[in-house]
Amino acid sequence: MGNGAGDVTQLLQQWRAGDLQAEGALFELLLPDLRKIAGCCFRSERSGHTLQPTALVNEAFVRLVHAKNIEWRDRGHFFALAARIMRRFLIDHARAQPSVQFLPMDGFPERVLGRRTPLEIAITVDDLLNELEKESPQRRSVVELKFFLGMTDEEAADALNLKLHTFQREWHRARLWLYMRLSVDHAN
Amino acid sequence: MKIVSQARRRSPTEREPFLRSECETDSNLYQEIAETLEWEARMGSFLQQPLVALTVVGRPFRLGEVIDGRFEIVRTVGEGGMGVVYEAIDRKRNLRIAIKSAKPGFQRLLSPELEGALKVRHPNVCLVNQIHTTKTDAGEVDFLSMEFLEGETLSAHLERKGKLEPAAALEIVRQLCAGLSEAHHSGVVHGDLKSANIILSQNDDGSLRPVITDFGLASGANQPSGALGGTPDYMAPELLRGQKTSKASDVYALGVILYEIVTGRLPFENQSLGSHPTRPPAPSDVVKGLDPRWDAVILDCLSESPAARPTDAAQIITRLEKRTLRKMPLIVVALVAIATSITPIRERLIDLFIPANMRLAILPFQGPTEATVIGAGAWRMSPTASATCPALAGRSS
Repeated sequence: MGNGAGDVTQLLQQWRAGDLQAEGALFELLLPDLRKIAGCCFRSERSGHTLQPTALVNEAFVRLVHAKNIEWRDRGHFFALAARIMRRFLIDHARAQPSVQFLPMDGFPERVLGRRTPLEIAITVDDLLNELEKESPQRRSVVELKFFLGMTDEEAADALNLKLHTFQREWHRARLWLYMRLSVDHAN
Repeated sequence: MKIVSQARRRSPTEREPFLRSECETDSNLYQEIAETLEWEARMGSFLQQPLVALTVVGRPFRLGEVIDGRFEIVRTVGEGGMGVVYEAIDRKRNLRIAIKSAKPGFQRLLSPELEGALKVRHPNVCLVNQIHTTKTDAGEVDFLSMEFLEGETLSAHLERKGKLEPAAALEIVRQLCAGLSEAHHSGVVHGDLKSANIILSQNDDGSLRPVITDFGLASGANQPSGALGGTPDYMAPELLRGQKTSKASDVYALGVILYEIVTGRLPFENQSLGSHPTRPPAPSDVVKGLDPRWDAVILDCLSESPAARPTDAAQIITRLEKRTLRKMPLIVVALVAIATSITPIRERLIDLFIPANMRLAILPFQGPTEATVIGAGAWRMSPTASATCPALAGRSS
């Protein structure tokens, strides 16, 4: 961490402008909180209780607002970043410990899911998102907020500063893109 | 996407004519929407459920279910991220009640601090009967049994109809202040006061009864905090700096509500909270012609410093009324003051203007100062209005 990472607001702005070093610094800074959050998800999964990551990220944000120099108007940026870190954390964790079981993926059409486990699907979606990012960084964020952080449409639209209907259109297109890619991959 | 979501709510047979009428002659738009709908149908709920926390969205109880052999779930009346509100029948008391339940995983919402909220008994505070715990498929679930309130929220009302007329505003504010003051005197802080937590219900006689709900639900400091993060518009500046909720932060939130009631907008609309200006525009600057007596009271509630806010919500209404008093013709004030200081005449005046239940509440007042206030109150209040707020009258000095 260190003092260099003290001004979260400034780092978030740099991150928004595409500064990868800032992302690294933020990752370091927020990791303890987000690790706890992701840990909660895994732990609670085993006990049969699950917690909404959004609520926990919100809590982390409120705590950081108090502890660090961070402005409320950066809440959207914070959520977008949290979703990204959550994705990174969940996938790294799942790759390192293949015994981690994600919950059954209801609603995955047979032709997409095939014989893949939810874990494999998650890893494939993660890989595909790196490709999607090249086409549209915004749609990549949309998927991270919805699929990895579990936000509602309203919350996610707010985080990305989009009108609700614009957000829903982007979400539809991102899902469609992934659906097509997953179906093609599965067919091969 | 708006047309798409509207179309998806219709049955397949209704969809086609709906789309035709919405798109009229724009065949490109029609084509695009039809394709979106087709793909949505094919994708089903693909990726719609998040990777983790897949089960949290479930509701704790089913319709028709009887909990603990006593509470029969009738319907869902409201749902948030962390909790659900049901209409239910309490078979033991043969009474329609509301049940508020945390969703599985959010049990901490019902914190021990909530016990305090059970102590508050006031017509303008939602009556919470008891905290229960029951076993469900998803594990133990906490729920509250409470009074069933019918009516829209203040926030929905303001959104639908805009700001309230001064007389209606004063009546609502009078009752809200009475409820909040009573809770504070019982040592209970709300912690998440907002117009969405106020239900505009009715008394049996049809008169308006605004009720503050969700007392004590936000008081636990370490909850997954939709309360803290979700409604920053009502958060006092000190809460943003990490201080705990207090009576003063409730009064700040009440100030925001008062501002909304008389202007139809939030005090710091379109401004990010990180850069809170110290003072919002005066309500009378927003609504031309608004009686400026609202300004001082509301802006005091919204003071940056908690110490500068009114210490008791009841003071708010007293101040609003006192200012009105100054506007009354001096002769009337003098007459009322003299009349009410002479005991036999005062009693006759009270008989004339105030119904019996109100009289009980104001009996303890003695001395000319209070008498003046009572006189003015009696002069102004309609019988229905005064009948609904006995507690406030009891505190107005």
